[in-house]
Amino acid sequence: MADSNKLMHDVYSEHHGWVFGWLRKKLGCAHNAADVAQDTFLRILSSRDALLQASQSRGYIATTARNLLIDRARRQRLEKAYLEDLALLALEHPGAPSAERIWETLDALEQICRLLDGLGSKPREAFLLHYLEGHPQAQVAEHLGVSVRMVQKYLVQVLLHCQSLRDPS
Amino acid sequence: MSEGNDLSQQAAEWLVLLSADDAAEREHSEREYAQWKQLSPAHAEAAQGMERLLASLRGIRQAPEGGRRLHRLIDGEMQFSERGRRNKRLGAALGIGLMLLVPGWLAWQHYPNTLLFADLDTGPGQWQETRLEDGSRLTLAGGSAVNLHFSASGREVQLLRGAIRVDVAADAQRPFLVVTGDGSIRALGTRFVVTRQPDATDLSMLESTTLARPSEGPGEAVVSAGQQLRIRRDGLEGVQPIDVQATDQAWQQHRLLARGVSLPEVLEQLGRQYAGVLSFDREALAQIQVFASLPLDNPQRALQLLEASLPIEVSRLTPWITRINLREK
Repeated sequence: MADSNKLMHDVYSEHHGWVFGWLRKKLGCAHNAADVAQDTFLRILSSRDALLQASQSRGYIATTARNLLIDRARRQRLEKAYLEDLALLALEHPGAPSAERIWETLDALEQICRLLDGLGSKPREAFLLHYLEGHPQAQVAEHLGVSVRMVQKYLVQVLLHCQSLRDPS
Repeated sequence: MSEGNDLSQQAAEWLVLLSADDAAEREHSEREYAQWKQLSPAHAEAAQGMERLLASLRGIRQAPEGGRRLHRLIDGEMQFSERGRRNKRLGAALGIGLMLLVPGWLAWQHYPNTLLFADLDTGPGQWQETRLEDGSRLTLAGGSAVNLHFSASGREVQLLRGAIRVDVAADAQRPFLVVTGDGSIRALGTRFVVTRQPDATDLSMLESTTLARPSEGPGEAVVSAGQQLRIRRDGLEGVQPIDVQATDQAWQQHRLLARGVSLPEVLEQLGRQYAGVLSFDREALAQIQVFASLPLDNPQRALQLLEASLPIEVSRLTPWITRINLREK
């Protein structure tokens, strides 16, 4: 335990400076850079494996920080797109969803994107058409030009993919 | 572990059958699935995560805007991240170590839309001044992004978004170039402001002269202190006079100086400093001219000022969406 504390301390004090500097250059803002640097080290310090890797390689730390940046940028893009969508909707229907509702939906969108990242486009489409839009499996099959059996295979594949991301054991 | 994977596989297959099109098949599967889950705690656990995922998808589908809109948003985001993955492969080929050493543009220049990896980047309402390696000073307005391409033979600033003020350090050997999608501005030692508009780039000269060129159209123009020029992709518009001192001061105070600018253009600029979305009907507001000096770093206040002096109505629909309408008579 004492070992791991020392390792944490060493990794943090050796690397925090350049990670922060690099992020500040990328983000052009010290506040945001400090936030992302903080998250980077939180993520690294939260697992012994990650800590060991980080102590041996700057690349590992850079990759962690970069992934966080990518998550963050994705969140900003989704926010922008979703809010613009809502703004358009507001032209037609008065009464916007509550702030809380907006955040819930954004969180869900972000999570879905993260889960579906890296899947083929057909399995992904099948999953979204069926579970998000609620189309019957036969309609999804027709839309994608495959059999219903194939749609079911896609759905199983995506469900397992999501499950494997949930617990990477 | 492999047993857990088998259970997940079975659970996933059951779940897919639970939403089969045929009602009788669904009912049958539901009964069987319930029994299957009772076989052991591990069975139940294998199904739990996926059940929750599906429940939350059903939950957001019930949102008034419906699943289709959300699906479209996800598709857009997925396309974006697939482009990013291609970039990433390119980056991986160069090596992550190199990534840290060279400016990002080397890896990303083929995909100029990846603002995420711009060399300098400011968020809404954040101004930033940077001294470049040649001694030039570059100030980014909020919501702006640039890439820097400096070499022994030239200095190039690529303005991706927003507005910059450049105070060029003299260096006769290395011309200083500001490039946007609409055109380029060449300088030796001078001071000027470059602002990207939706389909044009505005150049305001504060000191000395520059040479401006459109990216595709013919022609070029020498622009001098006190002049403003709009550069479009296919050509240059006529030169307008500006007040140098007022323009420079406005920039330093983070203010937008509008002298007969159309309201949509003003809102566009304010929108870049606003964390949410400004929603407005461009055509309906196009006739309104604005004569004002507005605080860009306080867009709420700027909107209040506009509302007080123009026939418009500003309503905050949510903390993130503000709607600007013509005031009804």
